Amino acid sequence: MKVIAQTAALQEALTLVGSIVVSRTPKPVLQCVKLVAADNVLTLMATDLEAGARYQVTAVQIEQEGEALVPADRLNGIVRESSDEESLTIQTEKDSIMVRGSGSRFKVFGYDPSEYPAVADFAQDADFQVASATLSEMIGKTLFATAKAHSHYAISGVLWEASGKKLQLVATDGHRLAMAKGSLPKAAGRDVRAIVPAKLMSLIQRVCGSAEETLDVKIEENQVLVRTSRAVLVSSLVQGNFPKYGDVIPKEANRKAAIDTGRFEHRIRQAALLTNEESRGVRLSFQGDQVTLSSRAPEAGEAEVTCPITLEGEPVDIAFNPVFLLDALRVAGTDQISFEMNAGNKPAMIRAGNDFVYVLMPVDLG
Amino acid sequence: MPRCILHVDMDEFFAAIEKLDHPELRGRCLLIGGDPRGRGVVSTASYEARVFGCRSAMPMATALRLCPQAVVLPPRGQRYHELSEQIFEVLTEFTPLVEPLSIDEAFLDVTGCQRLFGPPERIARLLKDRIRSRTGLTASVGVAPNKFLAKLASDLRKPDGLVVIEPEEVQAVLDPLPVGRIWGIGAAAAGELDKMGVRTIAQLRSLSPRRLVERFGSAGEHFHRLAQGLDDREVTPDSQAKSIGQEQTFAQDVDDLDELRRVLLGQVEQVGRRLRAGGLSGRTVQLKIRYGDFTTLTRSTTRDQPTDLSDELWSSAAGLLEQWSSRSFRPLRLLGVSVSQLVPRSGRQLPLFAPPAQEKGRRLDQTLDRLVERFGEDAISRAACRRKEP
Repeated sequence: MKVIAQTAALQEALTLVGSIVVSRTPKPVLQCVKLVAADNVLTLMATDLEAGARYQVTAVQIEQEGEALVPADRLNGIVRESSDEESLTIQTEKDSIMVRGSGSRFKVFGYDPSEYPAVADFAQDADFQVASATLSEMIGKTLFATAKAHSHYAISGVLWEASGKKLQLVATDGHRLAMAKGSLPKAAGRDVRAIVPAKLMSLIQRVCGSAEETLDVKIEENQVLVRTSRAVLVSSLVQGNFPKYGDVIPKEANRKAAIDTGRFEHRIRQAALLTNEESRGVRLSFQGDQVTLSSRAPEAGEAEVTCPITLEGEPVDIAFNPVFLLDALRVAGTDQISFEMNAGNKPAMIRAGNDFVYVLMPVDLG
Repeated sequence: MPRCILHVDMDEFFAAIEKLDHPELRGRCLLIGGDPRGRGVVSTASYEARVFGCRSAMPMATALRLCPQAVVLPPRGQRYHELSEQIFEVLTEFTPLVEPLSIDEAFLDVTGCQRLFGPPERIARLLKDRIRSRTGLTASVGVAPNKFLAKLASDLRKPDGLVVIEPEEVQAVLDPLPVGRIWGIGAAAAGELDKMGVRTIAQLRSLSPRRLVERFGSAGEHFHRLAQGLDDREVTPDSQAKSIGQEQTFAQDVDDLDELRRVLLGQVEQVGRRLRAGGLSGRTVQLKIRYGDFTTLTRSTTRDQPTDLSDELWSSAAGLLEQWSSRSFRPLRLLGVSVSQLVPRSGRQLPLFAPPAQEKGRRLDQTLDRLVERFGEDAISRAACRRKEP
């Protein structure tokens, strides 16, 4: 294999594909990226056996078709430190590759490309299409709420539900739940429902961020495939039961407060200054035309701040982990939110516009 | 600076309340407790009945044989609870360092509040007066440099007693007393000591700690320290406690696993109630086991999440008991359970999807707690706690 590739294009590809590569693995080949030069395109591939990516670099000149398998962090480092070069020449020499710039030459020991596991390609028709901007925004509104810790529910990923021209993403960690709605340019070919692992979700978000385009999505029995003009992302799905989230979204609320998003966020950050591990809760007292936020950390101190609101319904006291509130307000995307409650020990709900619903459980006031 | 600990013990608490509410019962033999026709036991015997040998925890039928003229009254848990709350309110007016031992008994650490209320004896008198004027009941109070001595002192001049043991007179007070006055020395240990020619605390003190340890294990070391009047356990309110536990020494070593299971379940229910009353949850459940030869061991397990649910505590405790019994079962002299790694329930993040079993357990506990509060501990417990009627 011998290719001359534009350095910037190569670096963009390596950054994305390289993020799949795991740094700790007993199998050295899994620390590599695979390069395939064919049909005037250089394709970079990586997989951690769960998720995989293919990325096409077209700003190349293929001198000789072929394949190579090289440690991702080495190649990444070389390309990153060669940003002053317009292009780099990559050439295989048995299982090693040579990378040449105008005044530099690197030889990196690699592996036999045939040892690398297959990375699925996306050649079929899509189940549905979605605009990258829409999907990126929806991922931003949900991904943070996925469970980091083990749970008996399948909540380490984001639930996708597509039907007609509607797409809905739902994520929860068992304490709060985020739901984002978006519309599709064309009705989905069929209804789909799948739990996509958090790792692939953040990868999709990165791809979405780089260009405005329409993405193809296909959901198969065990895997999800996403195609952009340059990349194919693939991952096995999270198996298991996603909790019946519809049951925990309050159907109605007898107390509703309209609050300025930015001001509320600022006040919560202030109140959170006087919380600690043992007393993570910030108490919110909704009464009249304001909410009073108070916190207390044993042996540290106390905070009390207020924020104007428009309240419908009786006064209520309720306490939350401030991080859970901030997470939602940061992504709400509207100037004002509706904060809806029933009682101090019942789930509360934040609504921002028509496309974002966030349900969160309070902390026990004791 | 020596510590100053008070032990407050209400006099014949349940009986005193009955006399308070029914003045016509004053001067009569009263037995408060379960139905004599069943397997009821005496919760409290009035002083008049104690003259005939009636004691608490005695089967009601036995007590009635000793004192046939006694009036038997069913316990009125809710009323006792009400007065207990008033008493504890008085106690916390003196110091937040109040460690409840039961419904009518507590330790107070008043070391730091002498500037406010005066010398310890004055504090004790104020406290007794306030209890009497608020409730009409009398308390016996012991004042001493530590918990062991304070408890011993409160018992020296009952009823309506006030005994102060000054640091310099500790040995003089202790020495002539029988060894049975030492915390942890019951009939069995006293019998063992008697065989060694030891009857008084003075004699116990003169034994070498090594001999005591040989005979009683680590408890022996503890006995030796207590015999010298040494005890550095802190007064810890339940809300600040590092652990909450319950244990029982059996009159005779118990070799029946079912019986042990029953006792343990009762203890778990009590510990669960205390956790919930104190607004606490715990992660670590520890079993304490003592054999007839005083060998003492502990076995513990730590849960993923802190809990205050009796069912969850029971599953941990029962698991430990099974593990122990399947490997090294021997008759037990003492069995106890405690829960540690406590966190306040307030501030606990509530779950969005509560496992249904947990929700059910929580409702059950709440209901049982309310019933116990109204009708007393004998009113209701898990069926497995109850001995089968013959």
